[in-house]
Amino acid sequence: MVDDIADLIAESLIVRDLRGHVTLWNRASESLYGFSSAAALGRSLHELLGTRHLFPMADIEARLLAVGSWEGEVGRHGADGRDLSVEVRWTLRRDVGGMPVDIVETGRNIAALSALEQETRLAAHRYRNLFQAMAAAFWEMDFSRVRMMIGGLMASGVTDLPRYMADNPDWVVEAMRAVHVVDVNDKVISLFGASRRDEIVGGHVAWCFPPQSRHVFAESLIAAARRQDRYATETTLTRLDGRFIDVLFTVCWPEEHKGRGHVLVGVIDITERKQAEEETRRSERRYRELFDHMPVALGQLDMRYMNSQLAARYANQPPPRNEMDIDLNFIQDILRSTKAIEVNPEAQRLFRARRREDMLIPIERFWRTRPETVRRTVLARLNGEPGYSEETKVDALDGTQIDVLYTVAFPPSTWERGTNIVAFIDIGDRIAALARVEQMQAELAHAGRVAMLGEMAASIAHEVNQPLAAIATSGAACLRWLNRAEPDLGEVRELAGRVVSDAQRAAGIIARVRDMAANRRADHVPLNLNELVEEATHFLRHEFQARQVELHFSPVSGPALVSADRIQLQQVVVNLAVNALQAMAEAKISPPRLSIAVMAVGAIWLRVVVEDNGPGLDPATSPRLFESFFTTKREGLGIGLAVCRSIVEAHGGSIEAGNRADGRGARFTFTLPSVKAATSGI
Amino acid sequence: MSRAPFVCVIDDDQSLCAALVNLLRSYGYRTAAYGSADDFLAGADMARVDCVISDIQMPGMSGIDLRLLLMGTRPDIPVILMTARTEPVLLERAAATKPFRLLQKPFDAQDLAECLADAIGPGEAAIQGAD
Repeated sequence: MVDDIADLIAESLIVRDLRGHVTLWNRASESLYGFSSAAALGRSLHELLGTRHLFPMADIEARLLAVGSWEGEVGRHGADGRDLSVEVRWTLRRDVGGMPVDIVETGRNIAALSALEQETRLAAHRYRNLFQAMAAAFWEMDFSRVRMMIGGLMASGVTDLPRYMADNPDWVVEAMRAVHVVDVNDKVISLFGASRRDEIVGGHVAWCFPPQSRHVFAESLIAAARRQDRYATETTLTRLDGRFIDVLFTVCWPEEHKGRGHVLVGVIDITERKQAEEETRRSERRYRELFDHMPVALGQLDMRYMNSQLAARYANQPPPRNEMDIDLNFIQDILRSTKAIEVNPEAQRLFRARRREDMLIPIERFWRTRPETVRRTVLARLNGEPGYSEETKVDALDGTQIDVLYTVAFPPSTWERGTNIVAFIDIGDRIAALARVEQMQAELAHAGRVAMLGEMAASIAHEVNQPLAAIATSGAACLRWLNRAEPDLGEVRELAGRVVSDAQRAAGIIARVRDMAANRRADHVPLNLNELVEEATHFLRHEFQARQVELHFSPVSGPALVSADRIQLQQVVVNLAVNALQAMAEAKISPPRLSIAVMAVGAIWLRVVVEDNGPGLDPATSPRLFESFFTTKREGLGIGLAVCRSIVEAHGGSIEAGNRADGRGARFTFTLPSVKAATSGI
Repeated sequence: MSRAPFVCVIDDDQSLCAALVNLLRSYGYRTAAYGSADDFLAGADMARVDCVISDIQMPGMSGIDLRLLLMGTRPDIPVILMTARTEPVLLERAAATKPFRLLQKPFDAQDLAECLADAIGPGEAAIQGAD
């Protein structure tokens, strides 16, 4: 019965089950493809006709199952092997329960159509494909009734349309109801939550404009009345299920549609974008609040210059391993060209800025005291560290130096954006507390030393006074024996011998005290004098920094070996350096400069020269400098240089004090035999 | 004619001890030298001594303890303490025992002579010289 009716249809009609096997094959199909109904029934349709398309058949059929229909051009071949181009329309049939049952195909041989018709169909097809394939939801709407409503308004004397619409929301809703939806693409179905096209097509649009978006509809009408060719805005629309969606709403009046009163409305879902924007705004707000209220000084820097400079210099070479490998001038250049672009209130407080803008300047201003910190930061960055942190000093705008804990992270995201955040925590209080403790410790240590030396002095005095008392007594007795009428020379001779031995006893005590001061058992091994001296300066690094001393160390080239006790010789270098620092500090020399050089003297001697730019030595006292207990310093113990001389002499060397050749400061030198000389046996 | 006064010198420093004895001899005193307070107390000179000159810091009994002991047994003997030490605490403790004199080493020979003359009268040589 069904077959009979099917045979009456002029178009090819084929039904296939869900496995693709042909269940109906009408007469038009027999003539189009050349297979008899008997030959086709039960066969796989696509195998039989070699159905092919630009897209894989499986994809097309999956889409068919999802959407319910598909139409397009497919390539096939007939029973005689001819290639056919067939326009097919596939429709999925469902049972009463909605389950897919089979697929009904109507097909037309495109070659049979006239060229003009083919062209038209092709254009329509393309438009249709485009219309369907767009990510945007497209509505084709008939506005002709709305146009008539507007015409009616004009006729009744309304001139100010926007005003009228604003005052008469009911009229706007009525206009929405007057719109006729002619067609929509698949995207509309999914975006607005419809299950079938006819839930939307054929109806009006009042449902999809929530009250807060009605003005958008009104404005689009006004735009049309003003003959603008399009209108676009962001708004909120309502889905069929009542949910709101954020959309970009566009209306255009295609030239060819104008006469018909048709408009094309495009709706692009921007809910996700909106949410992302909102999220971004929220996180920016959070970030801003954090930035503003953190009890940490924060600054945002424009990193573009630094990035370009680092890229230019280090693109084609391995990163430097040592901070000294990075030229400080290079860092200074970066500091001069890198600006702060934002700072928080805590940063203004810390850097003593009256206004926020006062800090939005090249950061060189803040790093005058410690540009090395930035150099170490760059080193860390170049070596791929995740961040850098150190305790350092920064320069506030009022010229004070502030102790801070400085921290910077190198998250790729911000560096790529060309900005970065640096943080400073004020540790001035802590540093001050530490400094007080250190000062107390130093005072205690000094007091301890003084007490110890007081004891030592007392016991030395006792020891020395004993022979002195004997000498004085013997001397007095001598005089008495000599002053007799008959001098008793026998007594005098005995006493004189006693005086000599007591004087030797006193000298022995002095020598013992000196040995005690340098009382370590010396351990002589071959050592590099350059390294030894440089290492000794490291002990004083904090002292140098605290007093802002410029230290110039120049080693001698070559091996510079001496046979020495490392600790004893370093004691000499430290002692000479400390003496220089104290002399310069007392004379308030600014800037204090200390120069330590190792040099060769002839082939067998090595000399260490320590020069300062202090007041220099008084020629009257300098010969006595190395005597025990001689001091020019108020609190000095007068033992340092005597110990230095003992040590140097124990190393087979000599020590000398004097002034610099140019007269601007003191110059101490000690000279030691180099190892070659020492082992060859002088 | 009275005999010259007899002075005992107690000091662990042999050299000073010998020099002091020699000096006292030059003044005409009779003398004896001891290396420690214990040796002095053990000897027979305790009975006939006229004056004691003692160091403070010595092995065994100190000069201060000797002074305290003599204060109880022979308060008539003047004791002259001497020391090379300079610590105020020690000097105060010594002064508190009220010695005849406390001498700081090295001392002036003239001071010692005057001090002895005050305590026990001049030695033989001085008497002879005064004649």
